[in-house]
Amino acid sequence: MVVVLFDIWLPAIEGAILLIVAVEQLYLFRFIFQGFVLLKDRLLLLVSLSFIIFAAGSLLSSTVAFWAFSLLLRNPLSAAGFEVMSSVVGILSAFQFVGFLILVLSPPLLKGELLESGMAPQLLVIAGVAAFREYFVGAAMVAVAMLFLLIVSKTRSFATIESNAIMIALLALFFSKWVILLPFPFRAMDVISIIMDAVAFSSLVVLRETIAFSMPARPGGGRAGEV
Amino acid sequence: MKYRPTVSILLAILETIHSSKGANISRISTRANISHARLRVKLDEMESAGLVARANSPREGARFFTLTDKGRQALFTLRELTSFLSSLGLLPQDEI
Repeated sequence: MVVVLFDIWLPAIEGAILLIVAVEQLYLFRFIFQGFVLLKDRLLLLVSLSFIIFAAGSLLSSTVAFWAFSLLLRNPLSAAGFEVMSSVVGILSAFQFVGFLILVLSPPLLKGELLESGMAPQLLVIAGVAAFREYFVGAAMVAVAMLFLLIVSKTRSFATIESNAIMIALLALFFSKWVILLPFPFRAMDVISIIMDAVAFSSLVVLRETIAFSMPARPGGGRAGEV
Repeated sequence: MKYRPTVSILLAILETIHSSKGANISRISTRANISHARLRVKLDEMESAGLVARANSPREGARFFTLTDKGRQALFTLRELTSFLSSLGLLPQDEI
């Protein structure tokens, strides 16, 4: 009975968490996109694009999770309900994969340094890992998250709140994708993965807020983008 | 020529004008590390966008630029954006 109740409510919990994550991603998208509107910079355009892809993925998978919930609520043993529920993390990871790939590749692409920056072999590793068909998206995301982690760890010292926030975000992201590759029942792993995603994007929001607070007061108040 | 993000260029221009409480083209060019030709284009764009204004300085003529209120707000936005992007490893520290 408890297990059945857990199964029914799990997609609702997933959907609610994903909705919160989508709001966080839209908040970050707004911050960056307003910068793009002001400056018309290609880097900002690509970063905005990444965040809108993340938000679209979270919104879509949240909708799918609530759909699964509605199916299971009507019939707790609905095979269609479980099938829909099992696709939530796959959809989310697919969007995140595209978003993070754009994010990781945008600086070297804009500089024309993709090949000389040593990223080409790493991209081959991603392609190689992605070749494991069963775990295509999850494994590819792990590889991209690792690549991102490498890039960030090369460019930063780890003494500030900002650095800690970004490391927590990336480690949570890495863990969220790694956990879905573990050979355990998918329902428990899926919800842990989604919670880790929420931790990752919450850390990015903390990072953005920390930066805003650490800056000198603006003339006339207001926040970034409110030009 | 290597790509330098517009974010970094505009931040350098706005910071120079802000810290000097107004600056001429030569000073901005030196401090922001931008060629005169490219700087003139950027300053024209920024003037059209209402971020900077030409001040009629008796010594400098119309080549002296000051920040508008919108330009000061844009400077704060840019500082936050560049800090966020560099934290994500998307903007090297030496480009800020």
